[in-house]
Amino acid sequence: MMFSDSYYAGKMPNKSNSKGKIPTELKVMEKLTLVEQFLAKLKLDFDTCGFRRNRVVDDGITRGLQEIEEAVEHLSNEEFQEADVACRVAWLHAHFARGIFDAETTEHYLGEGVFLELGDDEAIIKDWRKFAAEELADLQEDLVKLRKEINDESKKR
Amino acid sequence: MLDDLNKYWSKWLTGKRSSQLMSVVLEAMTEARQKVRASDSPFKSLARKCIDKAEDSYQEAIYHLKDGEPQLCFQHCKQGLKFLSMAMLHLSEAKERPEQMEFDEHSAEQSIIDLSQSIARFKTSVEYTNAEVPTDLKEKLIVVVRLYFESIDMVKDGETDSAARNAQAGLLSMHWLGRELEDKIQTSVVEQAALERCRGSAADRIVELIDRFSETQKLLLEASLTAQGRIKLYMDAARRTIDRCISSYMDNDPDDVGRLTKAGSMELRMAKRLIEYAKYPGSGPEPEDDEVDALEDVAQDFKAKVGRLQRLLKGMDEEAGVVRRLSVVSSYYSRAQNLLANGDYVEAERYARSAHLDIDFARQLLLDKQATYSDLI
Repeated sequence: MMFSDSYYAGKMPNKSNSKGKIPTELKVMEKLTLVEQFLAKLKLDFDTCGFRRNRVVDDGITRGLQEIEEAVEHLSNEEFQEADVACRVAWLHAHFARGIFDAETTEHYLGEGVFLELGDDEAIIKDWRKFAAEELADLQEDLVKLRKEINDESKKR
Repeated sequence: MLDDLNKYWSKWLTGKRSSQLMSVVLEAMTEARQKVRASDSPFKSLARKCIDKAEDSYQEAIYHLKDGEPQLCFQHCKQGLKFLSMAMLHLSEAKERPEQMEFDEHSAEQSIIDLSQSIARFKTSVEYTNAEVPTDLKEKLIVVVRLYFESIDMVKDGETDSAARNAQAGLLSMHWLGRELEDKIQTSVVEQAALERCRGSAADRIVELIDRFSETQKLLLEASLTAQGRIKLYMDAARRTIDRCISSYMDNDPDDVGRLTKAGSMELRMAKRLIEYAKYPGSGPEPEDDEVDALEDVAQDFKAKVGRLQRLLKGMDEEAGVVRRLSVVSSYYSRAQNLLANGDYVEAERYARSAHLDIDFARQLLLDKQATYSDLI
């Protein structure tokens, strides 16, 4: 038999992080399947939940799936370190999306359907340049004040 | 002649190995399909997808073998086997599968996970209690969520130290938001364990300051007083100081955190004395503003504003020029302040003008995509 069950029976073995050693192919594959399954469950719950689609959750699923694609690509090219990073990033997106989805489910079943938003308003996203320009104008005003103060003080001398 | 023979031999050998490997892939694929049919795993569809990908790789391998490219054929066979291994992992027994990805306790990823849990807990508390969250808290929460995503991007870019610091700053902000919410809904929201991993003297001081702020806020409520006049002045100053502490923590500036937490403690002590005086006005003379120079620390306010703007613009790739231009402005500003205090007005004006020119340049770059130094400044 090509695939003995005991070969896959190991739990997610060593803990890892971005500073760890180069992971082995099997470890990366285990991580990849873990995050794929986690996202598949979340996507199923999200698609069938029957209440509003939260944008943060939607984005989290999309970004997680993109990272999985990237991880598969790296794995095919035997770039295990890069594949490992993509798996971890996918997990972080998925983990957050799951937490937010569960919180919204609480509100849906127990609350009045008034949800606390976690994302920027569309208007804020569109207007970030305007917001930044206003902040710069504010800083410029602080500098004008400072220069006036310097000028006034020097005249007093 | 010998070279030609070597090449021929190598190609024949690779071709032979490829053909053998193709048989292995084919056999494994048949076995995997049988396992999928017999399996009751909830992830059968994921396994099936992997087998489909393996089949695509196998087809590619056939094309390459036909085209006389045995090495590419070999590579695709290996790729196919990888997909089949993943299919088997999807089909493995549920009890053999871990449910969570684990990270080292002190890794950036673990701090990010802690932050994720902290945000979710806050949201659950709000949803569960139907609490009204004031606009300023909502805005702060959105900033923390943004920090969360920035931290993930930093992990992706290999900047793990910055990612950890960013996430920990997010955790400190969540601690503060939690305390503010607790005051409003009278229910416990903050979970101390969330901060366990980012304990260090700078983080500890900030947590202590936040908790003292919350205590002072409670004192105000218990005394049935509204924050107004000088009490409001000191409470607002302490609030700003906490914001600045968290920014300095994120900038990895523990000295600044130390200085600011000290200033914040003084502001809160003053607020507390004023609350007590308001409760018992006849108990003695009204407390005087003898301790709090920190209120006037405009250079720090300026630095915090610049830092906030830099963080916003960092997310927008095309604004790298603006971020670069802003990087020196804070230090020019504080030098000008110091020179002014020391009576060196010429140098003070020179630094203030430089900062002014850079801000103007950055503004032009942001709005017009091109900029020149103005002669009018």
